[in-house]
Amino acid sequence: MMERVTLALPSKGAIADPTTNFLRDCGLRVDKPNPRQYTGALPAVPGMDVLFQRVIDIAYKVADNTAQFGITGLDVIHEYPHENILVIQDNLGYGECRLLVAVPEAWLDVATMADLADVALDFRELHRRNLRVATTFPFMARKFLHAHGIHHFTIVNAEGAIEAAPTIGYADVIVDLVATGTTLRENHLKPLLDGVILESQACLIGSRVALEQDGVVREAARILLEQMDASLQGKQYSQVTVNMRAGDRNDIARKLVANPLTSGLQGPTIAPIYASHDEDESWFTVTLILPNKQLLQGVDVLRSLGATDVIVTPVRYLFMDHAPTYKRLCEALAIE
Amino acid sequence: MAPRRPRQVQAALGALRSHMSKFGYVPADVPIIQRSDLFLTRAGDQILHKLFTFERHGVSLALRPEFTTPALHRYIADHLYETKTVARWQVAGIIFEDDPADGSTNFERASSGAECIGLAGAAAEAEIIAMAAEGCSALGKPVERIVLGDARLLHAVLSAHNLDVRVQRFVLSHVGALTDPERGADYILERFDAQLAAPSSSLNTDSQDVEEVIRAILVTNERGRAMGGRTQPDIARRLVQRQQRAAQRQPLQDALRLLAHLAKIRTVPSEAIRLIMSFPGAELWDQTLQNWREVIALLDVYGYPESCLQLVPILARDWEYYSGVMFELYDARGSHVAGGGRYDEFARLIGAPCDIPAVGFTYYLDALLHEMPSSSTPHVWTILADHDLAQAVGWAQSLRHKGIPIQINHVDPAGSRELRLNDDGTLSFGDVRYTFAELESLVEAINGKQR
Repeated sequence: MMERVTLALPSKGAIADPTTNFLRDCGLRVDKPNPRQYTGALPAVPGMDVLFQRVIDIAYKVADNTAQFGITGLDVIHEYPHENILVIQDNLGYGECRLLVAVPEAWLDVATMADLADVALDFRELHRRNLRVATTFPFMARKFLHAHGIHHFTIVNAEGAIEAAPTIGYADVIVDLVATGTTLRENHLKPLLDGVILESQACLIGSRVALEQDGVVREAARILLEQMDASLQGKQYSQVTVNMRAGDRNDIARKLVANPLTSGLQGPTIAPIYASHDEDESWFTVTLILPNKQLLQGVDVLRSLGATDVIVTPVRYLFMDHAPTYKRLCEALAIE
Repeated sequence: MAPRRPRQVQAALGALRSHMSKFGYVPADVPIIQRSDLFLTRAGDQILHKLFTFERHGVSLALRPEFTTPALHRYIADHLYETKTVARWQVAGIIFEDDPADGSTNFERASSGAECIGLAGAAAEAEIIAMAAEGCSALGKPVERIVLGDARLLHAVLSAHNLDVRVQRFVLSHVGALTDPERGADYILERFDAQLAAPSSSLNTDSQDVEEVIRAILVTNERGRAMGGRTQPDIARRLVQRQQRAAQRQPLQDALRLLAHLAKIRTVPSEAIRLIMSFPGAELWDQTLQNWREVIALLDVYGYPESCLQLVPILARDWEYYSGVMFELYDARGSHVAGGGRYDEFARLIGAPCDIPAVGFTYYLDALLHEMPSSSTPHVWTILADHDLAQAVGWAQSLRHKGIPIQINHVDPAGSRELRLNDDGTLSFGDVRYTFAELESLVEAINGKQR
C-alpha cells in the first residue's frame, strides 16, 4: 500500500493554467509554494502530492507508475498509448482542440482527404518524391493517412511552428492541433473537410496497475472523482427560484411536474410566503434545478404559469447518489 | 495470427527447401534491411502501412516485408538481365510487419516461396504452380483446388475503354470491390467521383475552361506564399485533369459493367473459357486465353487435371503488381495456403531499364501449418559427470559421431541418470557398464531403447 499518491499536472502549455483553475472550481485547490518548483500539494485529498510536468511526460510518468494520476490532453494519450494508462475521465470540459490535416489555402483543388490522396500520387509522378507531412503526432497521422488510402508520404518530425512548414518549404501539409483556427488562417492553411483525426480535450488518467492493486490509490480516485463529477454536473444546471400565486400549493406542483421543462431533477420545492397583506390567494416560493441548456425555455414556462421574481443562481456542486465516473472506473477495473 | 511454433516452422521450411531443390531452385540470400524506397514502389499499397521502417543517417530503411522485391532487386543489381540469365531462386526466412493485425508486438513471421526470374511463358508458370502445390503435399497438406486468373484480361478491358493511366491505376486498386456484395461497381464510381473527377468544393468547375484556370492561379497568388511543394501549374494541371477525367465517367462505367460480369465467372477452365469467349470483343483476350490453355495442359502433365482447377478472370489480389497469370492454392479445408503470379513489369518500377519476365509465389505458412501435428523432438541423452570432464567429453564426442545427440551435465536435477560416468572411466547405461572398446554395444543399446 502506498503512503503517498502523486497527481501529475501540466507545468506549462495551453492546458496548464486551465487545469489549476478547473481543480480549484472542483474544490481541489493546488498549492504550489514557488512558481519554479515542480512539486506541490492537493490538500483536499489526503496524502496526495502534485508533480508538475510537460503533457507528454505526464503520460510517461503514469505509464511507469511514478505518478498514479495525471491530467493531460487526450491527444497525448492517443499518440502515446500504453497498456498501464487508463483514461478515467475523457471529458473534463476544457482544453478543447482538434487534431486535423491542413493544406495550403492556395491548393484550390484540394478540399477532402480523397483530393489529398490524388495529390499524393501527383507528387510521386510529377516530383518523384513522397508527400511530406509535418507533425508532432506521427503515430496518429500515419494511421489516418493510410486509412484514407494515402500510402506514399514521409513524416517530417517537427517541434513547434509546424504551421509555417508549408511556407518555409520543408513540408507540404501538416497534421496539428487546432483550437480556434486563427493560427492556421494566419499561415494561409485550411483544414480538410473530412480531415479531423481526433476531437481532444483535457482528460484524467490513472495508472491501471496502481488502481487495481492499491486501495489507497482507489480512495484517492474516489475523492477526486466525487469532486470532479459534482463540479462538472453542477456546471450543467442552475437553481431557479420564483414566486407564484395559487390557491393551493398542489396546483402549482401539478402544473410544474406535468411539463418536462419545469419538472426539475426530482420535482419542485414549494414553500409558503407569509405576505404582510391579506389576499384571496396565497404566495409561494418555488425552487427548481433546471438544465442550463433549457433554462430560458423553462423560465418561459414558469412565466406562463404566473411566476414572478425569477432568480437564477449557478449550481456549484451537484452530488448525485453516486459519482458516475468512479462507478465506471470500478466497473472497468472489475472491482466492487 | 497463429501462435508461433519455431520447431515446426523450421521443419516445414527445411522440407520445402528440400522439395524446391528438386526443381533446381537454389536458396537466394536476401538482405533483411533494405532502403524503404524499394518497397514503396511496389504497387497496390497493401504492404506499405505494414512496412517496418527506421532511419539511419538520414536514409529511410525498412525490414523486408516480403521476398519478391529484394530478390528481383538483386537480379537487377547483378545485371543478370543483360545475359538473360534464368534465376531459379527459393527464399525462406523471417519477414517483418509493423502494426500486426492481432495488435501484438509479434513483428516477425516466417515465410517461404520461390521466384523464377528471366523466363517467360506458360512453362515457367506451370512449373511454379506445380512446385508450389507439390510443396504443400510434402508438408502433408495436398492442394485440393488451384484457382487461376490473369491480370492481362483486366488490363485489356481498361485499355480498350481508353481510360487514362491514373484512372486505370485507380480501378486496379479498387477492383476487389467488384466481388464485394456490399460495394460493387457503384462504390468504385463513387470513389472515382470523390477522388479523381468531381469538382472540388473550393472551386466551381462546372464551366471550367482555360480562363477559369488562369483566374484560379491568380487567386493562389492572393492566398499567400504557402504552396507546400506544389506549383501553380501543378494546381492548374490537376484542375484541368479533373475536368477531363469527368469525361471518362461513362467509359469507366461501361468498363466496370463488363468487369462486373466477368467477375461472376468462377468455374472449371473449359466452361470459363467458353463464357469469356461469348463476351463482345473477346478477341482482345486471345493471348490470355491461349496462355491459360498452355498452362492448364502442362498442369495436367504435372498431375493436376482440369477437375482440380478453377478459372476466375477477376481474381482480386495485387492487380497493379501482377502482369500475367495469377494463382491461388487451397487445401482440403478451403484454406488459402499459397499464391503468386507473373510480374514482368515490376522490374521497371524498381530500376530495371526494361521489363524482366518473372513469376513467383509465397507459401502462407500460418494456414499451411494450421492443425498440423508438432514434429517430434529428437531425444537428447545426458552424460552425468561430476569429475574427470575430459573423459566425459571423450565419450560425448564418440557418441555424437555415432549420431546420438548428447549433452554433459554436472548435476542431474531431473534424476534421469541416463548415462553416468564412473570413476574408472567407464559409462553406465542402465545397469551395464561400458568401456570405450564397447562403444558399438553402447550405441546399439541406446538406439534399442530409443526405438
